[in-house]
Amino acid sequence: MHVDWALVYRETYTDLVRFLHRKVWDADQAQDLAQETFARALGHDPENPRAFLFTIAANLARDEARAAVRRKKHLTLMAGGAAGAAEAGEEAEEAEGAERVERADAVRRALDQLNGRDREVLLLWDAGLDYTQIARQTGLKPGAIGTTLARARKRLVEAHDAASQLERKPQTKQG
Amino acid sequence: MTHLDDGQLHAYLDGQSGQDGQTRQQMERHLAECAACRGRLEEARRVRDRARAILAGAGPANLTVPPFDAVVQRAARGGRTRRGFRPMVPLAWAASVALAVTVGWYARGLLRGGEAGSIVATREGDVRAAPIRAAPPATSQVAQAVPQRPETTRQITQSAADTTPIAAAAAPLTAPATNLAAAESKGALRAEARVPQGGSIMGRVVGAATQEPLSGIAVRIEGTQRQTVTAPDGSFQLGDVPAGPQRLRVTGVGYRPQAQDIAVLAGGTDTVKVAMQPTTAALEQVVVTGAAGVAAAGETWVTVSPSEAQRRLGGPLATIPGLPSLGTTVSGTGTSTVARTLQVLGTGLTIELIQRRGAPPPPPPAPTPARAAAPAPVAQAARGAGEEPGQALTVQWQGFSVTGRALIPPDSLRKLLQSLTAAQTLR
Repeated sequence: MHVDWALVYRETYTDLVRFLHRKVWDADQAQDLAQETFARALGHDPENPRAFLFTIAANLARDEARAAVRRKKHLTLMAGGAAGAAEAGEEAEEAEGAERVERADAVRRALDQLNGRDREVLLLWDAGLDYTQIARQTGLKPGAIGTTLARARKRLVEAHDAASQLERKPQTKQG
Repeated sequence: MTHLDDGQLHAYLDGQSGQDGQTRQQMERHLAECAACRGRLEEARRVRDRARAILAGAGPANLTVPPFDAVVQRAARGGRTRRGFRPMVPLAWAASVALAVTVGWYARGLLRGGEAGSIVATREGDVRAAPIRAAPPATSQVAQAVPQRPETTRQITQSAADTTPIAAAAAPLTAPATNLAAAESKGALRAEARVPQGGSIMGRVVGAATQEPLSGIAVRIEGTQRQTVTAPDGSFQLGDVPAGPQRLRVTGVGYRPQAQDIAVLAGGTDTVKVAMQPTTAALEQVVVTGAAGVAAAGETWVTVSPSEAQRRLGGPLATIPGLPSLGTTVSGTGTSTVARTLQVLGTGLTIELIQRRGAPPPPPPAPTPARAAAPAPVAQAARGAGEEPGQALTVQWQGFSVTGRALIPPDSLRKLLQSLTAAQTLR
């Protein structure tokens, strides 16, 4: 029994990118990580390709977050040049999608209000996994997924609505 | 049935009911009766939709999916530079030995026929795997062997606290494997990546006697984690099913488990229809819980005709009028004979009647046994006796104690038991 990765790729790519986007908050990077996830998955024969992919993706996202922290430290030391150009390019892009970025920021902040497990379950459901797969991935019992989702959704809505009512200081730090 | 909690409501909305034993039907029945829960369901729906809308606001816009070839080539290139590998250099000797063995094994797996050949894989100079000839350990699945990896070969920055070891350990090792396979033969890798085929299965589950669709039935591909639950119209669909001969396992409360052998065509969709038989036949063992008398563990049950059951009981066989009977089984002899009759209440819902001579064994407050006109109900919410979970009520009828058990509210159960009559057979 072999996994047809080409088929799984077609079916799962978008969901994987969306899942990663909610973790790294960078569209290009999310795509890059998704590609990387599939590249690493080739050659394996998991019983559950979807869950397998999402596990790899979650790992990659976590590594990326740590690497980003290290990179930031490097960037501050570099004297303009390539780093500066890259940032300028990003800024131009952001100006265009400023509203989109703001919305994404709001979602991100709301998501940060959830505890890690609740957030993971929520993102996995949104990525298209069913309860059984989510249970397997997170180590929760299938019967607990409903309760976790109920709590996570409620919290997300509360946090999002509360934040949209407050005035926010402009964020100077880049995500 | 008690009110539905938030978790159940959300699971219902997600179409994922049944995880905790409450089927969709049971919930719908309760919702039909309970306005309070209906209101809470709508509230839950609102929350769910809002959450979905919020999340939708943070996703990649206009995503075009790059062609799969890009992934294959990326795998061949060895992927992005992984900073984490640097720290592995001091441990390269251990890593390269371990990798050499595993790499050879991947090669064997990828190149069917087991001709490992001479393979050299290099990853930007970090680790070099020696040429391999031998066939490695006999384990057949990558996923099982990999978790044994020692810590040294994993990225040191990675912690696997909340991830399955399979993917965590597999990640650093995959690149060399696909790398080498590509080095061996680009064509071969491409073929390998496409050859593994999967298909889908769709179908319907119905009751064998009635041909009515059954919902809430679990359908699973044996040996995999592909599984789902049938929808209210009895239909189901499973994708990602490995091609070739497979076995479908179909299970549901109140029905005998079914297995069906199917052949999944690569890239195709198979349609199956499964007919479920309700459970009636001989039970090898019946476990006693609660006070509603059922034969002790170890006794065997035999399916008999109603007239034979009456002969063994020495009296009329209790049945609920108007409901189809799925049959009667008996256990024991003489005065210790116990009869178990199963009748159909509705789609996927049955009631079990356990009949035995005399009064029931001492349960909590049992009023003096009376005749049919005034049954003495003993309500319990025990699970276990026979195969029927749910409420249990025992009444005295014609010198027998009859325990009815079904997944319905106690009041409905009481009404049913009050209508007990003798099975219509010849004496």
